Amino acid sequence: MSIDVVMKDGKLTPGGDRVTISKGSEVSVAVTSDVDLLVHVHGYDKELHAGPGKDAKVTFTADMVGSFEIEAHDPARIIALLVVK
Amino acid sequence: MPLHGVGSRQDLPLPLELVALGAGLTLAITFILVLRSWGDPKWCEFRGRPLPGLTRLVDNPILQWVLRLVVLGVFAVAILALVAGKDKISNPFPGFLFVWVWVGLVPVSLVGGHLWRTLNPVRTLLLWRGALRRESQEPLPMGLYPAALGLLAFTWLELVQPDRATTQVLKWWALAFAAAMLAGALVAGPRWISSAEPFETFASTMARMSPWQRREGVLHLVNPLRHVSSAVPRRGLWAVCCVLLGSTAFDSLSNGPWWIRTTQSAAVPSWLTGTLGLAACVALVTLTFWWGVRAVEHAVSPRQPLMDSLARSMVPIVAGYALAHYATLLVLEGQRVAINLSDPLVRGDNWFGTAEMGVNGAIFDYTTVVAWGQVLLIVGAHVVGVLSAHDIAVRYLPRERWRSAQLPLLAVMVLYTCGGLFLLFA
Repeated sequence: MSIDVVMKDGKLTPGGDRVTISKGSEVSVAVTSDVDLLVHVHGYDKELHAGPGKDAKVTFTADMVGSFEIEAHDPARIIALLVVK
Repeated sequence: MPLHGVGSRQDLPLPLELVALGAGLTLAITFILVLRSWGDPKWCEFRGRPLPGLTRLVDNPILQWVLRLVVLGVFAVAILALVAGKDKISNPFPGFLFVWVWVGLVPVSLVGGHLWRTLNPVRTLLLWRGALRRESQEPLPMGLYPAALGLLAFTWLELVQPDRATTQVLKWWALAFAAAMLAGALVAGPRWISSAEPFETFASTMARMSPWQRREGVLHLVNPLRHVSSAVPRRGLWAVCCVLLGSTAFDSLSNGPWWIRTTQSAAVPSWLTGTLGLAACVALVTLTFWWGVRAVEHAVSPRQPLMDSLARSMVPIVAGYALAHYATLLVLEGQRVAINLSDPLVRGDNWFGTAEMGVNGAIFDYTTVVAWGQVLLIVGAHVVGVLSAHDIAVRYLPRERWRSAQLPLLAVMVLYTCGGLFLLFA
């Protein structure tokens, strides 16, 4: 499962979608941004620092069950809700 | 749940099949109960088994003072973290307030009865004003309305206030709370606490579902359904219940993807959408409840106000929904608070030996059990609520009107339950 986060001209996508995967799947989060952006995956505690011309990507195995927020700081927004079943 | 601070991991949303099953059961049980309902009230009077031994133990002043001091001590550590601890994520105060106190008071009161009224640190600190005396446990003539307002303010803090998990913001709220309690107690006496302290009012409302009731000074073991249906309603109980149910509903709503998607991208600031959302949820619950009660009032002669009397039957629904919604938060984040309390100043201390412990997330391995538990709690609470509402209503309604006059109220209760299930699914 890959989640592509794009911050362009002040618009951040996705904007709060729910992404459902099964326990044990691999998840990859890729961030492309035209400003300095910090993205945090709750629960799994993954941090991605992206900036202009500097994409960030992290891949991990979803071995914990539950609902985890993927959010951005500055501006504080929820990007997606990762639901691991 | 705030973006940061309290809550890193949440429950899975309920599977649709379970929600449909729960909703179906709710409707079926309500329908059957109405058809087979009885004409004479069963739970109007107090009845219970006296427990003089337990009473002596519970009323032992040494035991009471030891527990009071322990509670005061824990609160002192938390307040220390608030005023002197660093404003970082591991500061225990936000979790202490939003999880240990706000959620913890529900099981404490359901199991321990009016325990909080005895151990409340606000009362301990105001003992010089008579706050520990039994007479102060009676609310003022204004009833519970000030507490209902206080609860509305707290739920706004919990659900809308930007940066609510920071000590920066919480310091001001704590100051306002302390000032309001002190000023009221100075002006109106210790009964102000029973009328206006929101946490104690919340605890006392939940305690109506506990199996312990005092009569002539002696504790009795009682049937919780009888307890909730027979205990004298306080003035303003309807307002307390509507705020509690409305705010829990808004909590569910605002954590769902629909709300997040819709409000995040809007040009309107989040505190405004949050305020409007919370107000709308509380208003919706209030209006629907009032509509249901009004139908009963119209069929009763002589006319009398029944909002507070029938609000007693909303208490089980509030309790069931609160537990279903927050139980895993208490188990998970509650542990985190216990860990962080060992380092209240956030500088690497380990006062109680818990600072190095990890949070045991085992509860998330039982998601099916949790989901079933949530549905059973909500449906079960609904059944208790409907039984209680019926019992209270037939105390006033004439025989030929008792089915038709209750239908709006029963429909409203079905709405609350199915709405609650749906929100846990979304």
